[in-house]
Amino acid sequence: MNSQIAGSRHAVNRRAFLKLSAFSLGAASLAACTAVVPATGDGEATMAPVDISFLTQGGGDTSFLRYEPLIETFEAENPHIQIQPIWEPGGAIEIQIKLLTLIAAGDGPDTYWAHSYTNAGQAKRNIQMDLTPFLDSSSIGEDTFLRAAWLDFQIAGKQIGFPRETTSTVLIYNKELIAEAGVSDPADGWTWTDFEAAAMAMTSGEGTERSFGTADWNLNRNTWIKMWQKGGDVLNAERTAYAMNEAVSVAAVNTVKGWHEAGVHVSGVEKGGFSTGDLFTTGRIGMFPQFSVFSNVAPAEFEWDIAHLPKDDSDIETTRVASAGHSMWSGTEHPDEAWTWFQTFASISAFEHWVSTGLNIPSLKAVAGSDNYLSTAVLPPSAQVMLDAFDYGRPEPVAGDWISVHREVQPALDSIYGVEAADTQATLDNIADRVNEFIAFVPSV
Amino acid sequence: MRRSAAGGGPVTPRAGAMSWWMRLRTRRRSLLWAEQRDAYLFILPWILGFLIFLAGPMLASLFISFTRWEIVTPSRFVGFDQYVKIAQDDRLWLSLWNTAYYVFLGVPLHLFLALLAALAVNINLRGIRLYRTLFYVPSLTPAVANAILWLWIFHPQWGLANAALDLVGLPPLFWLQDPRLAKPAFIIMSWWTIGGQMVILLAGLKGIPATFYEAAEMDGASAWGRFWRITLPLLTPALFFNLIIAIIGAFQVFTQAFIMTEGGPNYSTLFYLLYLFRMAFENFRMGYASAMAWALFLIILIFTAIQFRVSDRWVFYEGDLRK
Repeated sequence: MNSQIAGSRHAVNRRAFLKLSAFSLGAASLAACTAVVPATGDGEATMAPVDISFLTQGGGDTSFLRYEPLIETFEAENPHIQIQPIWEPGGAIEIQIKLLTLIAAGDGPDTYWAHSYTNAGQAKRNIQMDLTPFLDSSSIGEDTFLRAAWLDFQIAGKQIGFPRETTSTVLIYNKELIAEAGVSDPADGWTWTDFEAAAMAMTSGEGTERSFGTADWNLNRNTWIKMWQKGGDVLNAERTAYAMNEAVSVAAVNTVKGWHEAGVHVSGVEKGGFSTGDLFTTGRIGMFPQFSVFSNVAPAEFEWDIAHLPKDDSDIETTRVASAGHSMWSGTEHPDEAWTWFQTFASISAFEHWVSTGLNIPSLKAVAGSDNYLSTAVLPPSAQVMLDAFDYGRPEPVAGDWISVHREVQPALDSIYGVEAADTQATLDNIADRVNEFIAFVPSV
Repeated sequence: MRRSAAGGGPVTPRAGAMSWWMRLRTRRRSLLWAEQRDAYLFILPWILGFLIFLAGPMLASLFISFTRWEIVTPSRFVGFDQYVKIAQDDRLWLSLWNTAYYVFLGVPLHLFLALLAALAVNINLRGIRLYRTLFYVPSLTPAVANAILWLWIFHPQWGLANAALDLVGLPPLFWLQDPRLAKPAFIIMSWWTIGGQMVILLAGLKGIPATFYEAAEMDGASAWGRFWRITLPLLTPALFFNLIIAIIGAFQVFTQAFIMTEGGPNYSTLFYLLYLFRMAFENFRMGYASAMAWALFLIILIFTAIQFRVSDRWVFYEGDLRK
C-alpha cells in the first residue's frame, strides 16, 4: 500500500494522461507520415540511386514471366535505377482500384499497366503523364505501333501511354462441326443469314448434352459489334449521350435475343458453370466471337480456325479493337528515370519476349508482322485475319467512367437475353439516365 | 497541546482533525488516480484501436459525406448535396427495397427456425451434443465458402435444390437467375447459419428453472401451455437480443450478393451495402458512399430504437413487474 501511495505522488491525472496519449498518438502519426530522406555522403556516385515503381498485373506465373526478365535486363543496363514492381492480381478494374488507392495514399506508382477501358476516366483525373515532350526527342511514335492500338492511348491530343498488346474480335469456329452441318465455310465470307443457318444446323440434343450453334453474343462488347454493323452505337457520335435505345440498336439487340429464344445461343444457365472455351473444346459450341486470345481453345482436338465476322451487304464492316499497355503517372517525382524505364515498353526485345510468353497481338508493328510471331503454335491457321481486322476495326466509344457504363449495360442485356426475357426497348430506355451520368462524369467538377 | 509542524502556534483539535482529513483525502485521491492510471493503461490498446480504427474513420466518413471527393481529386465541400442526391436516386431506393425484403421476411423466418432448432436440441438424448455441434458448425463456415457452396446447390442443372424438387415431381427453378426467386433463395441460404442464434436461444432455454415446468405440470398445463406460458415469455430477452443483432446484420447483407449474383439478375439482389460498395470502390464516389453509410446508420438506429421502445410490451425480464 505504501509503495502505491508513494508512487501515486507522481500519478498522472486523467486529463494529463489523455493529453499525453493524444500527444503520443499525434507524434507517432507525424513520424509515420514523414518522408525518410536518405543521407548523402561525400563519396556518393554522381547519379543517385532511384527507385521507380511499376504497378502491373500479377495474377500468376505468366505475369511474373512477362516482366521479371525485362526488369533484370534493365537494371543491369541502368544500375542507378531500381524497378520496384507492384504485382496486383486482376484486370483493368482491379489495377485501377489499386492505382487510385496508391495515389490517394500519396504513393502513386511511377509507371503502371493500363487498359483502353480506363484511359479516358484516368485522363479526366489527369493521372497519366503526357508523353508528348518525351516523344519529341525520341524515335518512338505513331509509326512504331499498330495505329488502332496507338490511338487507344491518345486522348485529347495527348499521348498517355504505349500499347502493349491489342486485340480484334473475329469469329472462331469448329471446322469439323461446320463440315458436318453441310454449310459453307465462314472463310468464304458469310452473311448473317449464313451464320444463322449454320448455327441452327449445329444445334442439337437436349439438357446437359445439348450442343449450341453459337455463344457469347450476350456479352455487351459483342452485342455492340452487331449494333455497330447496323449503324447503331452505345453513344452518339460526339460521345455525349447514350444512344443504345435507338431503333437500329434495339433491332440488333433483338436479333441476339432471337438467337437465345430459338435455342441456338447458349445461355448463362445452360453453360452450367463452364466457360465458353470449355464448351467449344468439348464440341458443344460451334462458333463464337472472340478477341485475339486463343489459349482457351488451344486444347481442342479438332480443327478450328478464325474468320471475319459475318456481314450483310448493307452492313458496315467493323469489329471491336481494344488494347492494353502502360502509362506514366503525372505525379512521379522521377520523370526522367521513369521515362528511361518506360522506353523498354516500346522496344523490340521486350515485345519479342512478350510474344514468347504468349502475348495476344503485339502492338509493335515490327513484331506483329514478323514471321516469328505469326508462326507461333497457338495461333490459328488464318491468323492473318485478326491482323487484317485492324484495317476496319474500331475501339469502343470510351467516355467518362467507361467501366461503370459496361456495368450498367451488361445487367440490362442479361435481363433481356436471360430467363426474364425483359422488353428490349423498355430495358434499354431504363438505363439511359445512368449511362449519361457516367459518360459525363468528371470528378470534382 | 501540540505545536504545528512549522513551529508556529498551537494546533487546535479542530485544525488537527482538518489536517488529518486533508491528508486522508489526498491519500485516497492519489490512490484513486493511481488505480485509474493503471486502468487506463490496461484499456489503452482498446482505446487507441477504437480511436484509430473506428471513431476516427467514422468521423472522417461523416466529414466526407459533406464533400465531393473521388480519391485522387481534391475534395470539395458540398453541404447536404450528397444526402439530397441519395434521396433522389432510384437505384438506391431499389437497393433499400431489396434489403428491406431480405430483412423483414428473412429475419423472422431465420429466428423462427433458430428457435425450432434450439427446442429440438434442448432434450436429453444420447449424442445430443453431436447434434448441437452439427447445427452450429455451418455458422462457422466462412461466408465466401458458403456462397460458393450455395451457388452449386442452386445450380439449375446440377444443383441439389432442383434435384430435391425433381424428387417430388416439381419442375426445376432458376433460383439465382430469376429476379422473382433470387431474394427468396438468399433467405433460404441464410437458414444455413441458424446455429449462432440457436446457441444463444439454447442458453436461454437452459436458464429457465425446471421448477416452473414442474409446478405447471402439477397444475395440469399441457405441453403447448408450458411452452406458451413459460418457455416463450422467459425466452423473450434472448429472442430480443437475437432479433436486434439479426436485423442489424441483415441490413448489412453483402457477401453473398457480391459473390453469387453481383446484384443481379436485373438488380434483384442489389442490396444496399453492395450498392454502397460499388459507389465507393468502383465509381470512387466517396462522398456519396459516405452519405449512404450514414443514411444506413440512421435507418438501423431508428429501427433499433423502435425495437427497444416496443420491447417493453413483449420482452419479459425475470424480476421485472409487468406494467
